[in-house]
Amino acid sequence: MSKINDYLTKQLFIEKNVVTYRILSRALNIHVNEAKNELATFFASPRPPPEQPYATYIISGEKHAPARSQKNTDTQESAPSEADKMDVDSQEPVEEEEAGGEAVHQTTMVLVGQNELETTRTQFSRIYSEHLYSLSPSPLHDGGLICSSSSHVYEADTKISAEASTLLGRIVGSIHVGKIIPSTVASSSKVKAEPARKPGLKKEEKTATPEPKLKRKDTSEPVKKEVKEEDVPTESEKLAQASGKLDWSKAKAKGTKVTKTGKSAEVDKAKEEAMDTDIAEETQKKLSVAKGKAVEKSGSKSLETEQLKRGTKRKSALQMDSDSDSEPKPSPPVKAPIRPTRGTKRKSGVESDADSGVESTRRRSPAIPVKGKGKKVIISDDEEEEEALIKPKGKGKQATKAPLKKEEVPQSLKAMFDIEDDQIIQGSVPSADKPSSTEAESQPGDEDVEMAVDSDVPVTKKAPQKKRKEKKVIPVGSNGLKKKRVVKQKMHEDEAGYMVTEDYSSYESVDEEEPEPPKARKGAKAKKETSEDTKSAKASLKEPRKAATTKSSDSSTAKKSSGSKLSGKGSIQNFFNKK
Amino acid sequence: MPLKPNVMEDIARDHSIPAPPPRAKFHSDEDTIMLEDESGRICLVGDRIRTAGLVTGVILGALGIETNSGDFEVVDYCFAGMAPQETTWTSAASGSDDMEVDTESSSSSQDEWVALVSGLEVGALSPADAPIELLVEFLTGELGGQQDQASSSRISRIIIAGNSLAPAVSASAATEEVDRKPRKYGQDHATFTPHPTLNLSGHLLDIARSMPIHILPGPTDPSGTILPQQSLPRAMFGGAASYSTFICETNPTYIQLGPATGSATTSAKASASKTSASASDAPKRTILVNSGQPIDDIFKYLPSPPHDRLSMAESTLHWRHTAPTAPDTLWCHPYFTTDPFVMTHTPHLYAIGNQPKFATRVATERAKDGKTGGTEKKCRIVLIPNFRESGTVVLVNMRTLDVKTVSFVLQGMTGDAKT
Repeated sequence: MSKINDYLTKQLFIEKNVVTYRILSRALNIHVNEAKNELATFFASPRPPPEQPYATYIISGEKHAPARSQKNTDTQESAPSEADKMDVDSQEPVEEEEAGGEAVHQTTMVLVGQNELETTRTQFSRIYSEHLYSLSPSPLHDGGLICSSSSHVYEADTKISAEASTLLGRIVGSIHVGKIIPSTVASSSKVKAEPARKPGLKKEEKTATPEPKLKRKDTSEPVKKEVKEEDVPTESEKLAQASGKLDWSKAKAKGTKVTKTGKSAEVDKAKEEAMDTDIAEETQKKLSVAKGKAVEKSGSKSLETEQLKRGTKRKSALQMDSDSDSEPKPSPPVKAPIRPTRGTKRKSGVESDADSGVESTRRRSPAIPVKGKGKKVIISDDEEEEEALIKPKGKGKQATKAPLKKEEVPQSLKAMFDIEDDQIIQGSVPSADKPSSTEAESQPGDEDVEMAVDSDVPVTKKAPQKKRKEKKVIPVGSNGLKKKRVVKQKMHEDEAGYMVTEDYSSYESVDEEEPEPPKARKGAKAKKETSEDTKSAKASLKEPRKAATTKSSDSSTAKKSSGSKLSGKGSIQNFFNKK
Repeated sequence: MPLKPNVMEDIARDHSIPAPPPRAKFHSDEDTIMLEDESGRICLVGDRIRTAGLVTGVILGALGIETNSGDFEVVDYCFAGMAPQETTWTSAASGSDDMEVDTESSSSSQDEWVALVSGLEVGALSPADAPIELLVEFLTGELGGQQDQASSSRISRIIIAGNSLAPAVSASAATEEVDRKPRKYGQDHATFTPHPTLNLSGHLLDIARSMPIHILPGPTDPSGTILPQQSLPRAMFGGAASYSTFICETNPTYIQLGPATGSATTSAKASASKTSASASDAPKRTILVNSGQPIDDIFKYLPSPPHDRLSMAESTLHWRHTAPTAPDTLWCHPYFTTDPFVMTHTPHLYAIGNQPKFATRVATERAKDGKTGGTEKKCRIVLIPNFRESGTVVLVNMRTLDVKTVSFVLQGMTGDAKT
């Protein structure tokens, strides 16, 4: 009691704040209905005149129907059926009355100060409830002032968990994604999952709502709230199931829920680990797409767009790293320092990264570690799912990780789709030698793409070829047009303050109707792309690629040099690696 | 229609003087109705057609006779009629019995209600901050007494049909207005942050903890002006975006509610998002929501005393086209092969946001006799009033498709809706 009194006294008379029942409940961690009662008792208790608070009430009920009443009164409500929403002070011309409309039950909630309480009460034909909304040091003339404490309420709400909220009397829906992604990125800081955010469905139902006493009560049915809470969880449970795309990508906390991939348990576990935030977005998308096949392709696409959207927030961070990536390939040592830092953030991914970093001077991880990581695929998949929620730290880091993922991906996909192992493994052998490109924007030139899962391409022809000559998958942009590599220039300031111009390759949409000429495309080349439709593009390109590869196999050697030149058009990296 | 904005007139006008303000209504006595197809056009005359309440872009069949002057005198006309409906209403035969005094204690206590609101207009020059705050508290079940909280607990989702943000004004103009507003009293701005999107996302986060939200862009929202408006970017909403139940919809959009289905599909452009309701015996419901631009545009074509917005909305159902005036006077994306505004299925609930007043009606169409597949089609039309002006949120029962409204007003203080 005294704690409440102290709090109220302090807030009202020392800090001159408006105290609403909501802020009181958050501050003192009590149910909102209790808070309302407390406000009432505080208001009722005698106080010295200079400290008399001003009360604002909220009355809910049905108002008297103003002059015009509507024809149909056939509803059996006890309250007088009212006309369509009437503007008492209607400004609109009469012709805009919705004469054909139906009468509906109207409830009005009026926020009124204590001075006008009585007069307002008379306006009501039936009052459902009336309670104290807030206390203020002086009469409240501006309605907007009740919002002044909202920020405190929101701060308090974000700190407490969902179950705690229900104790305070709010109804909580049971779906959350969980992490609230702050606008500024600091990957390591975000890594810890907030266990508080996980809604406990069952706990909600068991929460006993305290019996509130109100000034006037028409019915007392605390049961209702529990009914709702029971319904809400089931509803949201089904919601989570129904919205498949949302479900598995953000499959948090709802261990009980059956996600499409059924990896919720692993998801939870993976969340606990310190996760690296710089997941390769492309691989995320690949994973999403791969899994999306079980769900819905369009669903996954929208997820990916969400991921993309999330990804786009950190452009500044990306650029920095992308610059480092656009350095010529023969400087993998530059990336070496990056890897360990990355490794620290990511538990299960660390070993794989380190392996890949250590073993290959190129950016591709060799086949052996890839195979060895087969087991880790599932875990990392989940992690990647989780990391989908976390903003990747930098795309540059993704570059070195991406190849790893991309090779893991086909492993998992292989498992899923029963594609012959031989081909996959063989496919990844040559890819070990060939660096595969990963990034969309910042990839230098001609990065080879890792073999697609559905690679019916004869592997043998690849071995003699240079690394670059993998199949090129034409990235397809979001508007459905194919993309072509173009070189763009970017200028930025160096540390020394010099303006540095850099060339980087990126993809641009090309309004190409006809299929790429096989020569230019060099069908055998698979380009590892980073756009969201990786899998779908690959799937769609399977046929043409097949045809093209047979062609290319005939004249592989002849095409080698020309193809490589063409494939990496505009990229400096190509030039260097051609030796 | 001579008063309709005409691009030729716009080009030919004298640009040295400011353009005349856009008219509220285009209709005039000199309007003519033309029926046109690939082969040609013909003018329709006759009393029957003049009172039909037609707008540009309606597809109809006309029965009549050619007059001496070469016009076509219409004897009767017909439209496509309401589109087939996927599931029928489990019509509340005992609907009236459900509305007991203590509503929630009856069997309808298991019902789910969907809240419809539009026109929050956060950041407007005279924003309805307090009613929005009351609305949020109502939705989270904190406001009111036991009965109110119980009824709030039945609300299972909220659909915000546009105009969540007021049109942006330049900073200088805004500050001038702010100084001049009487309710400042020299105090800080009443809202907890001056930035409208932060303000809105704070409210949405609050609601998102309690229920799924579908938010549509409206004419004043930061989305494209061309229909179909694409969804607002999730990133704009900060904390609320982290909720999977916070769904940004396009405008217009179909929302399908029903018992949990196997999968959900979301297509990029204007259409369907499937979500699920709780009770497995709850019927599937389709909701077609838009932010009001099509009806507002149709409203300009027709004289209002005989035609009201509700009847215009009902007409769009019978025409089977939500926005017939697009792309003539209503800007829309140029579609070549398909028209996404055609209603292939009649929704159960047709909600139109940002209307000046609340109104609702059930549009029905009897099944044709003798037709085997014919069933009665019913659609509940709801015109959602602008929240900033009316402070009203509409609640629709998903089982019986009954409607009720809740209004939030302030008494004796400024900052109310309608100011």
